[in-house]
Amino acid sequence: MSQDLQTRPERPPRTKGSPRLDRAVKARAETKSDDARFDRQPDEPLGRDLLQNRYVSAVMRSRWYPGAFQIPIAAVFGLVAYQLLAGPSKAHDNAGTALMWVLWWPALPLLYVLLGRFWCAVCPFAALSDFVQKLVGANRPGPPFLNKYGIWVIDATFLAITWADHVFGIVGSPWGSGILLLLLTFSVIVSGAFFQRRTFCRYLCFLGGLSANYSRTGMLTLRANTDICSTCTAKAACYNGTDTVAACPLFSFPRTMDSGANCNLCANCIKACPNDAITLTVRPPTKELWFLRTPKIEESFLAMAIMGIVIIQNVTMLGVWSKMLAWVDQTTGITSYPVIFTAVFAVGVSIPVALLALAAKVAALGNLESTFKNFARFGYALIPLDVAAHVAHNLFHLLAEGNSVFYTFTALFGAHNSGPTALVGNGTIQVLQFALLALGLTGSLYTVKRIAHRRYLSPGRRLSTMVPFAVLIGVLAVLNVAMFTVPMTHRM
Amino acid sequence: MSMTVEQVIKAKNIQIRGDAATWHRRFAVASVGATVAAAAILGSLILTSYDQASAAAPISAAAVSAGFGFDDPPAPPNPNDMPMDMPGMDMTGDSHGASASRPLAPVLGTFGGATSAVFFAAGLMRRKDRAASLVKKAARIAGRAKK
Repeated sequence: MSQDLQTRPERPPRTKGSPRLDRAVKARAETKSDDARFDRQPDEPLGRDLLQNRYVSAVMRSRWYPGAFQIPIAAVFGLVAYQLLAGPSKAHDNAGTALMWVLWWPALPLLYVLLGRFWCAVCPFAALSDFVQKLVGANRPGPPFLNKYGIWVIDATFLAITWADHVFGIVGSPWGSGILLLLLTFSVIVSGAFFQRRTFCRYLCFLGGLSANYSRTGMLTLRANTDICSTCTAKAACYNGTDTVAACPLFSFPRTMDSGANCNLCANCIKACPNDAITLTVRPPTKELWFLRTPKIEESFLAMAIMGIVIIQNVTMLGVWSKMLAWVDQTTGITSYPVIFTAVFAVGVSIPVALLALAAKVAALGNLESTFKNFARFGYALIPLDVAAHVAHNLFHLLAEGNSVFYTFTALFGAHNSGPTALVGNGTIQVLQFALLALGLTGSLYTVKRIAHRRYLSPGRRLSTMVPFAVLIGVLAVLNVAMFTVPMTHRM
Repeated sequence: MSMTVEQVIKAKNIQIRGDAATWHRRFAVASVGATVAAAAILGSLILTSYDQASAAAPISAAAVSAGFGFDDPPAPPNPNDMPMDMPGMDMTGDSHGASASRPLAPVLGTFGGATSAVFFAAGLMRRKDRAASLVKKAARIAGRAKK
């Protein structure tokens, strides 16, 4: 045997200078050193603690927070639901449609940027879930698959609701919006009745997924002081709650939390912590994205899917859409709107995802990491542009149809108000839309730069990573600008 | 000295308290379920009649005009150009013409019924879980007493 080994011809030495081998060796060495450097990088630095201010502290620690916000919002929600189901059947005259789709929906992404997931703390669905839980809750742990694939479920739900909006008419029809509200209400009741805490908000709410992504750009964030936490003997009261304070509804443990995505600022941990270790700080928008440690591909996918959805929402509201439908009818003979829209929807959502995959592939050639890693890591950089495009689209509805909220609301009390629905002129709206897109573009480009600089050491690696993603961001921004130059239809 | 599970339950008065709590809970669940179902059915009947009445006499909100008020008015696509089955684009129809096509009573009835069923199932599950936890607790106490 040993003789065999001795006599076995040696493998020919690998040729020096083989480009493939050199590349692999270089990639391994660079990745190893960059990984080590990345591990040593400090976490997101925290700003001034707002809880040091006695007024903010008093509000957050008050037993009336967030209930004092939940009650009036739940009352408005009740009115909206009643109007949608039983009010005027035409969206144009319905106060529920105006309050929901002209006022609330456009204001929501702005709220995420300013206050993180604060909306989720005061959302009437959250209050309903808590109420049902108190009444009949079986308090079973959520199904394990939700823990693993929750964000994919949210991705799928978000896409399905957007598709259903166009095919069954949800936004443009009060009855459709009402049915959506009833379905969501029933899902919340089921989740609250069987599962513990706010399983629906954390794992199933499509708006929760959107808010988790958008709140990463948020200016308000909650964290724990890990120095104090390391000496804590309160048995994770911030996570488990106490006799008087409920547990964290979104299953987040402040001590290990490095993102505001799963924190709804309900202040339970602030009230429960016996050591005052929780901080509430203000930071520049998008800052969290610069310090991400564990990117997830499903979150990057959601960012791109949202971009696709914004593009589709824009396209279907343009004058060219009816011409496209007529063209499809003439060339293919297909007259079924659901069939045509489903095809457009599939293509529309796939385009941004495919473009990000392409950019990741090109970047992978330069930074010598996998396409998969590049996709997951740099998809987050598109979130600022996502938010900007989303706000810009909805800004049109808010500013061009804002008066309809007043008209339809006062009509509930018998007032006969009528007049132009626009709050400002079309030119002003366009300037604001372009300004928002410029902000989003800047935010996304800066985020790409920060992620690349934090991740890679060598200038060549940084540049070869940044260029493809910067091109992608530029293309998507130009596409959005082009769409906002064309007149759009109203929701009401 | 060893005690059986039943003896522990009897001695600690666990079952009696558990029973009282269960009945209280059962009553609460049944009342809420019945209220939801009743409200859904009655509400839907009332709302359906309101819809029929309002269809005959359009309310003032219908008078809201569709003025755009732009400096440079955009030209939204003409709804007549769109296919008739295109949903969410009912910009030409009568405000109250569609009220007859809203099946409010069955929808709210189904919602109320399904909610009641969920409450009932969750209540049963909670009762079962509590009973199992009581048995576990009693077994633990019995085990401790055995030692």
